[in-house]
Amino acid sequence: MNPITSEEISEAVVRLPSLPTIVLELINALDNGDVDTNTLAQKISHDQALTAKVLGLANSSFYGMQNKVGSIPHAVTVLGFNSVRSLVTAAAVVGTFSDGKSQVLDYAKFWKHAIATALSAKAIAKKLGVNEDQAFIGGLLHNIGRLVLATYSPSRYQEVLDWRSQHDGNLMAAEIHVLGIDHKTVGRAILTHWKFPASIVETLHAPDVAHPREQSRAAAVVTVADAIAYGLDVSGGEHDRVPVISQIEWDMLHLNDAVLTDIFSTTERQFEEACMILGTNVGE
Amino acid sequence: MVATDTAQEILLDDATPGMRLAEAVLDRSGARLISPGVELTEKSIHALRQRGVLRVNVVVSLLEQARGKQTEESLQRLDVLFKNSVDSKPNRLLLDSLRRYRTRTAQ
Repeated sequence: MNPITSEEISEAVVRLPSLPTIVLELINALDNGDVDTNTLAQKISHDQALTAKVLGLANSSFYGMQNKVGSIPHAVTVLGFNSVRSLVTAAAVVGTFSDGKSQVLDYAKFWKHAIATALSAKAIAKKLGVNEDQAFIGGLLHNIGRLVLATYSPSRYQEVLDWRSQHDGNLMAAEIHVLGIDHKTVGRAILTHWKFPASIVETLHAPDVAHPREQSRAAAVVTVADAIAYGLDVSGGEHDRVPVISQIEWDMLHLNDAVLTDIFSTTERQFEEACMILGTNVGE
Repeated sequence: MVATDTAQEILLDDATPGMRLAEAVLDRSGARLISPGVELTEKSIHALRQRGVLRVNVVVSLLEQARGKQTEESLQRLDVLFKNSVDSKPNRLLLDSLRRYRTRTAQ
């Protein structure tokens, strides 16, 4: 056991590569009802790489638009500002963290799983009639803490992976055993550092068995989406295991076989395209 | 019969209309009832049953073989993915749905 201290976590978070300024502005505007969407749309347009990815997603089967979306302001008009914001955030986060090299983390597999979780969370949210963009971002970033732990101290993260292989256990248990902290806790620290609104940060909360009533439905959406992404085997990792879904979280979503089937096929249908547009070297 | 297709012996009870015979069907005395290459129909399956035929050799296309193998592999993979969580009831429900989904989409 070789625990990570809270000082080290703070240091790891501060040492993260910074997101493009426009993304931080967009995130900060998440809780602000009084945003000047025109100005923000103009600012996004200045980042050409980001714009290309966002327009690629806007024109993909993701939205099934009849007509081609040609610009960011146009995308804001037809998809809404919130959707554009989540696409920009997705493109920026994946873009910022996609080309690292690591012995202990396979970036392609990592993002494949994250993207499938995001798509699945969005599909679940749509069925429930809750905020789809929040679910999408929560799903995409649910494992961001793992990326930080793995890049901050590869040798200690290797211990985590070794422990998991030896015990065929889940990753969270291995992290707690070796590091004394799990990646969801770290993930919350990162999202807070980036000033994500509480509604997104709370999607990374573990189920609170003691206080089931306070359990957030948004967190349940991400938990089940995570399990579905593993179940659909998009990342194909040797040690991939579907994490346990608590009864409280499952019951909150009222999913039946027909609804699940729909979510599976939506996720699979959008997956390849989303990976290609976000450019997460998934081509193998 | 295409070179890549293979013959498979199945129970007459599992035969369905549209399946193509890989070999002639003979009665107990060795007389030919149906020639190879002929497609089974509801009527011919019934007639064969009347004659006491229990098994027939049908053509399985390469595509069908590949599909069957793929489905089997994905079902086995599901067992691996869920092996640490099948004790949880929600996980078992999710697994059941995924199994049905994999079996259905393979057809």
